[in-house]
Amino acid sequence: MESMHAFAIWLKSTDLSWLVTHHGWVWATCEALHFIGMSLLFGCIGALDVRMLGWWKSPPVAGVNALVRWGVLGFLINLVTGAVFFIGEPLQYVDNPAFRFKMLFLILAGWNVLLFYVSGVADRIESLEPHDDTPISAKVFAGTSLFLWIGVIFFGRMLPFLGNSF
Amino acid sequence: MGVRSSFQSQSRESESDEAIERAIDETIRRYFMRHEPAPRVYARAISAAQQRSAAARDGSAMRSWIVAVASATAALLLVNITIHFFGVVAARAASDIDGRTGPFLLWLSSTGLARWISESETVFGYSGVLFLHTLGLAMAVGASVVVDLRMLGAASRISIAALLPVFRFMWIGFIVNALSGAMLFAADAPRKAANPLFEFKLVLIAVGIALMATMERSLLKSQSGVALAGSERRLTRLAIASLLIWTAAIVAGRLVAYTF
Repeated sequence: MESMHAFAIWLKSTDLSWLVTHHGWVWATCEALHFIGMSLLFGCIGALDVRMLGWWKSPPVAGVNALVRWGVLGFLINLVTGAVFFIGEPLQYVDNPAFRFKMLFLILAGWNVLLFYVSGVADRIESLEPHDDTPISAKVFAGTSLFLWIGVIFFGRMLPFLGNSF
Repeated sequence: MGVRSSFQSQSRESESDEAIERAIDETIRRYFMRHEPAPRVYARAISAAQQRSAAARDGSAMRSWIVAVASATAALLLVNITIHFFGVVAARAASDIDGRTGPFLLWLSSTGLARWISESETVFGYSGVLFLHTLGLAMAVGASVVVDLRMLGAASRISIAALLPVFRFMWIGFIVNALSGAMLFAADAPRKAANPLFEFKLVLIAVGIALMATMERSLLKSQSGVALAGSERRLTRLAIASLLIWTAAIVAGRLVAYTF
């Protein structure tokens, strides 16, 4: 944690950090893009989750799978804009408990995605037609995914309240 | 016996090619009435048809990417335009709050619920309502984005009719946000009402919801068999408008948080 703090102080002293905080529009633009990326990620990944949970059974699983790449695009937007926030104000994040929980949930969501593909569940449900029910293993992955992403949104929103970020 | 005799009887009257062709057609028809084509003939025909549609899919995926990049560029432009124009107006209005606050807004912000939201330190107060507002946004805009992307050619294996249940998630998100938004407004009524960006945001949301409702209605109509002339093109245009309006609404919403 000490080295993390030292890293944050060094990061704050860089020109790049100054660039982010000196121009008001950088932060505002990234905030707007962060919310757009969130909608893209939550909409497209959530679509696959609700298909697997059986709350939207009318399309084939492969059809909904084609939306995942758009969810990944949303994630990349948020990774970049999130990094901009961290570079701009690293000190308000490193000691923030909400930020740590958000990162923990993000890592868990990443593991969930990895296991979903590595375990072969993704391949097993790929060929399911409209109105086919998914196996319970797929439902567990989908439920976990929804829970973790809602958690990421929750702790992201709590950044200014549990800690001191804005 | 069939082909030869009919061929001969026809050719005796005239040697027209038309008659020969008719005879061939007839033979083929009779043959296939008795013989089912081999499964691999079907398989070959189906795979040929699918390869064509795969090529078409690649084309529309390309179009979706172009629209996505255009939307992102439009979003960036919108942020800057909004900051420069509305930010200045909002800053001017800020100095004039007291003069514009009516008795209703003062009463609203003094109600028990409004004071609970703005003063409570727990997660059930302001921060919790704000979280619900964010989750509702992700649901409403997320569901809209799924519909819009499909209309623009992405994920074409989802049939248009299969999209109808997605609107349910959009409406749930919208209701969550109408309620949580009303609470957030009550907690800070005089300042929010004085902010022109806030009105701008409400107008954008109204337009965005109207666009989605129009899409839902036209999907319902086409599902019930009422064919709409040029409805595909109309739906594509609605989808582009919807993406732009939601982008603008999010930008305006974020800026409301900055200007006040």
